[in-house]
Amino acid sequence: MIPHEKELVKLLAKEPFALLGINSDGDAAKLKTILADNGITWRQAVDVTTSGVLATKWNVHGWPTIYVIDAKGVIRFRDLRDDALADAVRGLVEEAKRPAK
Amino acid sequence: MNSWISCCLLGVALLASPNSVDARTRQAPKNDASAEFDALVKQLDLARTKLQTDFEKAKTPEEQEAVLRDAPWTHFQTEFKSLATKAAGTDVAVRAWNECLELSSMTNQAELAKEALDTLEHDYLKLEGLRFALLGVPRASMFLGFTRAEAFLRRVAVESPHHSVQGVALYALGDLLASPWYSSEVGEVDGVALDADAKAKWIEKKHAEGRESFARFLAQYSDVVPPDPSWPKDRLKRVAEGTLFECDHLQVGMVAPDFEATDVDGAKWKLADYRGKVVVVDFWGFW
Repeated sequence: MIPHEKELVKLLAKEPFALLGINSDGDAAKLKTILADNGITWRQAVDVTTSGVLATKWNVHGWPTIYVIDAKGVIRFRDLRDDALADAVRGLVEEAKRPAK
Repeated sequence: MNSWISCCLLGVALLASPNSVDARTRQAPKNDASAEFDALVKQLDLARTKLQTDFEKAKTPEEQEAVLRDAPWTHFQTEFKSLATKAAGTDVAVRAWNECLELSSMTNQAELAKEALDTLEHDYLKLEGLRFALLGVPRASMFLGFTRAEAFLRRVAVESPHHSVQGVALYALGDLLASPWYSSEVGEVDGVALDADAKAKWIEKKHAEGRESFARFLAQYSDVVPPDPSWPKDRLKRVAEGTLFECDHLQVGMVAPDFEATDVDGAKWKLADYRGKVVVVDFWGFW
């Protein structure tokens, strides 16, 4: 997952795209170490545990759980991985850049 | 068997019975059957622990496969069945049949799973102890047949005279119907094979019925506690609420609900801050 995500973030650095992590590994200090050790640069939410506020609200029982949301805020895909995820995101970025009719 | 499947099976083995020994020792007065049941459960827990240790020690996929193949699940199934027969008519029998049902996912003994469900339906429908044998039914649906599992849970929800049993049945029914994990395994309904289009529609219909089941649970049975006292008392309620929220707000085509979060530097951010961008929300962790 993570190498693919890094690639995606690098590839789409100048595009209207954001990868947001909701992490359940521990508190901010612990997560900071994990991010540094793994070279993860994208923004995170510190959700502390697998029964954190956000994981509970979004009914997450398996990790990773992934949502792809378009520029209008609509959920377009769930639980895509790796290449399929990258393709879906690129498609939506193109869609977002197309002038509105 | 490849290692991915082995890992899944190990996972199922370890998760298969969320009931702890404590959960089954509440029954009073103590009698021979219930003592025998407790002893069997203890042995089963030990066997699970041993399986995990042996699996971690195994050095090759072949060794891992051997560990899984030699696991004593069939022995336990036989023991529980014989106890269920001996203690017929009691809560112990219900729990023993439930163990047979839950172990079927390890032994692939579809016939025994069906026998367990038939017996529970015919002999124990009115017993309050039936609540102990309902939460494993969704997972056993792959052996029982989805339609059979659904019919059983619906009947229990309607015909049990006990509030707690009705509630747990509705919860289990919601779990079976709303989770694509179970419905996506179904290839035919009432003997008619489903093509891709019909299957998608059928799954959608079942999903909606599962949502209704959870909604009814929350409206009328949110006081019902899990049969296993080692679980948090509000667990059924919380999972039902979470599933309902997912059904109503987190489906493809819906506007993602906003949330507020704090990053590692203590700065607050909201999902809505990213409107105008394509966003991937990734719930992750290493732990």
